Amino acid sequence: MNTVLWVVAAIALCTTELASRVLKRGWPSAAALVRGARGHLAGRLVLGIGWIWLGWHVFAR
Amino acid sequence: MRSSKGPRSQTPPGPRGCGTTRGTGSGIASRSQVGNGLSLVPRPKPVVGPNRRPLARRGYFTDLPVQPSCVSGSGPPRPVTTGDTCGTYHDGWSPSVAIIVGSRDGARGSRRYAFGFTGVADGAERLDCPGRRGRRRRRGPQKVNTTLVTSPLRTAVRGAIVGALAVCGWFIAAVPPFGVEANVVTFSAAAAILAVSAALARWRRPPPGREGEVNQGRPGRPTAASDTSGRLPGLVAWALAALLIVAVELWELFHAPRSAYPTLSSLANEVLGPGHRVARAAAFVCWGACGMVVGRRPRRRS
Repeated sequence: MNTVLWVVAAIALCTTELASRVLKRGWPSAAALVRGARGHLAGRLVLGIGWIWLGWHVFAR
Repeated sequence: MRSSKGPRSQTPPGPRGCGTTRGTGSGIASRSQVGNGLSLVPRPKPVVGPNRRPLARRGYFTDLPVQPSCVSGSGPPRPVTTGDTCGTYHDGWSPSVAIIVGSRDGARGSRRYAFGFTGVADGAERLDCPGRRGRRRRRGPQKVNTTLVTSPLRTAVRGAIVGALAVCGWFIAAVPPFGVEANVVTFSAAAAILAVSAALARWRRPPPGREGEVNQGRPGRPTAASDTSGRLPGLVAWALAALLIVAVELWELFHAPRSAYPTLSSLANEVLGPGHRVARAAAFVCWGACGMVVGRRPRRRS
């Protein structure tokens, strides 16, 4: 039952990404959001820390 | 062979004619050769194969302070837009196909337009001004290849990085988690990935004097979206989707048992757990590839 919640969340993410590819009216895609975050130092720091935490969480824990 | 008949004095910096051109050889284009205020980057000799056809097409881009136009016959210059393939250069260097790859905001709010050139060694390339009916005459098969590929060196570097990540991932996947060794190996790999990423970013940075070079090596996409009406709803949708993920994660986290309320970590552990070495190695490659990107400033697009 609770896995359904994850499926719903995944569908929401995929729908938002699909909307960015179909509408193309300035609707940002996930790549555009990440690119925008990479344009700022704070964004790069957040992304870098999140990336290191993800690797530590998956491969070291 | 047909050449441009248009009045060149009316032509702003940009393509000077549309029609068939025949290459006479490859050469090096410099700022003085092209003139008209263009800031072309030096053009290395293209790699040619049998019959002196180029084996690889490279992109060379420059900025123009005004919107380029296409002149055909005695008609007025026609403004060209993104994606047009129009015009040939005969200014002392080998003819090339000019591709309008996009526009971007220049200094002081002015619009600047970027050109791309496919490297054409010898041989005929037929070009027509798109959208000018009546003057278009087809002579044989149209062969306007606007595909710009990356350099072989860059492809080799990328392949070497992916290979190194795969080898590292294969060994790191075998390290048991929850130990000092796993921590050391993971953080060492992260540091190495960030260092390589920074080194590559420094290597790719254009040298001084090539500031006009944009979007090197690939055809540009019209990123300057004129219609941004969907940006705010898009951001709201992304925020709602992220909030949904967080809410589900918290809901699962504060409920038990974990088998009935799986978190993202427990779901990932089913696939990337210690017993799945191949999947862990593949995940390490993906994680490392992301690390090559996240810490770097994005390259400017046209």
